[in-house]
Amino acid sequence: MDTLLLIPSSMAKRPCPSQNPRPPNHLNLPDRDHLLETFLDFSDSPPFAIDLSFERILDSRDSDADQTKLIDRALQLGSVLLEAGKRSARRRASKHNSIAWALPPDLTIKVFSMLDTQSLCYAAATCSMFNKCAMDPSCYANIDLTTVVPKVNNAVVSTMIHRAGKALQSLKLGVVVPGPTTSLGSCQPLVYTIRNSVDVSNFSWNDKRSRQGKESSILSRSCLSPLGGDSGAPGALLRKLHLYNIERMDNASLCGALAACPSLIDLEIVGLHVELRQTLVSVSTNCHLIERLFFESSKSGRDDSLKSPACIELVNNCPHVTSLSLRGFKLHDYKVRILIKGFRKLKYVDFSTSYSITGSFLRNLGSNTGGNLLEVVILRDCMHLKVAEVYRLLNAVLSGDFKLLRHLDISNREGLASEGDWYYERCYSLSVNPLKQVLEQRPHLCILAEFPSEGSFADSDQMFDSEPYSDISLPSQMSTHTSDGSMFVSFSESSYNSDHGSGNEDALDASYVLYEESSDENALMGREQLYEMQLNCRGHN
Amino acid sequence: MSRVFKLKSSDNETFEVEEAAALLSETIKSSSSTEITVPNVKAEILGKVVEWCNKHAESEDTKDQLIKEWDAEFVSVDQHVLFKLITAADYLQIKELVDQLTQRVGDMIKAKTLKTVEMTYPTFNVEREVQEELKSLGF
Repeated sequence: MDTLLLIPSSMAKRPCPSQNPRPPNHLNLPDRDHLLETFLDFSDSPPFAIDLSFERILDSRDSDADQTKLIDRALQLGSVLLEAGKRSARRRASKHNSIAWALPPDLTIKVFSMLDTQSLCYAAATCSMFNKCAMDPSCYANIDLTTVVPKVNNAVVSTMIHRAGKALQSLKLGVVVPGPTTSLGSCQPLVYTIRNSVDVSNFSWNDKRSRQGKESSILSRSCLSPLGGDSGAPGALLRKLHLYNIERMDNASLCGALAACPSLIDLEIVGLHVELRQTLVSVSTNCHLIERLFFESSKSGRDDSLKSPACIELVNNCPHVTSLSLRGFKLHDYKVRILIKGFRKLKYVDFSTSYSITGSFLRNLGSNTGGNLLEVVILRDCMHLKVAEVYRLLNAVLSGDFKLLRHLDISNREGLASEGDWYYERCYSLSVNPLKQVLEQRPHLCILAEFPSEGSFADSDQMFDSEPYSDISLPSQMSTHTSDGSMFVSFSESSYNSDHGSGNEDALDASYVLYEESSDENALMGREQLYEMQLNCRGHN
Repeated sequence: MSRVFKLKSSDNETFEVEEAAALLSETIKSSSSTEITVPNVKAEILGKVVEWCNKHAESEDTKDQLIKEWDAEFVSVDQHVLFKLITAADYLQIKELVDQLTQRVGDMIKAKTLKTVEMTYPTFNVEREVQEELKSLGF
């Protein structure tokens, strides 16, 4: 039997078919290697030679058990050889790469740290040398796992965060609407709403691992839990956190994540089902270094949760805020005023698509109280924004307030609210007078005031004049609205009693009273100016 | 009077560089001599590095649009040359040049225009699931 195994060239013949072959353990290494070498030579024979040989051997075994054993052995050996071949191929490729890739590891890591997360993962998947470089924490300092359709799951997030470790500086996560967004106050809503048409069926391989079935390809509420943990956790040094349309995220998990990020400077939350008040409370509790807050509601004006105490707490605990965007919430003027006056360093505000605010929060702001550093004010599509307040603001600019203002956006798809019925009487243009003067006096100030031209209200039953209106209209006769002094008398009392649409009539807290006292002299001055204003409003004939 | 530095390439060609340009290199800055030999860097490459330094010593304002365009042109070289430039800039410790060049390599990886076998040779299986997941996402 032993002699058989020592004659490699006659492996096709078996003089003792009933005997099982014994592994050549007794052979020394060179002989064993020679054996394998010869076998490998065998495989160069004409096609199917090994097949036929194997079948002949199989046939020569009588017992079923013997045959099964032989087949198993063949499979096993085949697999071993396959793995050995693959390993060697990889090693050769790596060696080739290290010759062909002319950069040392530290420079390779530097290159990789400039890649976006997606390209980084591709690079890591190509070869072991790249993989090693791509695992360096510095490559994961800025993790961007945003996608156009829901794809990334918790495991991926967790892996990336752990790779970053202490190097983690920014994390972007969730589903974003594709397409360009303007840098200054995009009016395009970022909230992702098209869900049903998404095809997530190609992720079925996840089913094998997950206990939740197909849905595990979506981020769950605990997707940010890797940020927290014991001391030295990745969240501790995180500076930027942007979250978009994560369906399953809730108040508790978001607040938990914020609690893990005391160094946060930039927080952007779009389309999450979280309450504004709770989120802001969590920010003011945990993120005292915060400079930029960008929140866009998932509920289009129905989130009315913001309360004054939360505003006060926020401005007290987070003095470094320079940029504040609250879009799509129900905000009241007096609460917004707390924020604007309280944030001493505030430069950029965006309250687009807000409900309830009329713009009165901007009164008496720009001189030397808080708000005088404002550079950008964006109030796009605020349903209750009053044209009167806009004029008041423009006059304040003319009289020297808001010295640093360089961008003002009051565009509105539905026009601005007038003093009358806020719903039916909309203003679609601003008159020339204060606007032209402002633009002359302040050439660097950019004012965006895009309104629809007449006739764009398809479902309204207003009567329209046939005369077309443009953005800057010509002065016509004085409207009865301005000659009615009630607008100014109402300065000292709530001026929104008749305007139940905005809901500001309950604005009787301390901060509102304060502002009233100082505004009386302005009221007198303002009255003259406003009398001269030409107000072009749509109204019933 | 500004000093003049002499940079010698590996194939024995000498480049004269004004002080302002030369001091963009940390290596030269911390060198005691004004004659520096740059090993493993041929004249062709060293010449380009000197060109970059001269350009950047001239214009103070690096945010200038013109210089940005010039820089973009400068790094749009053959991959072969690009890697050699990185090595040279790295040796001379010219941070901004290294940044620009590595950024370019990164851009090429992103655009998948990098001509190396390894970029199309998927041989590694570690954490395959994560990689596959991301790749299958078209990510």
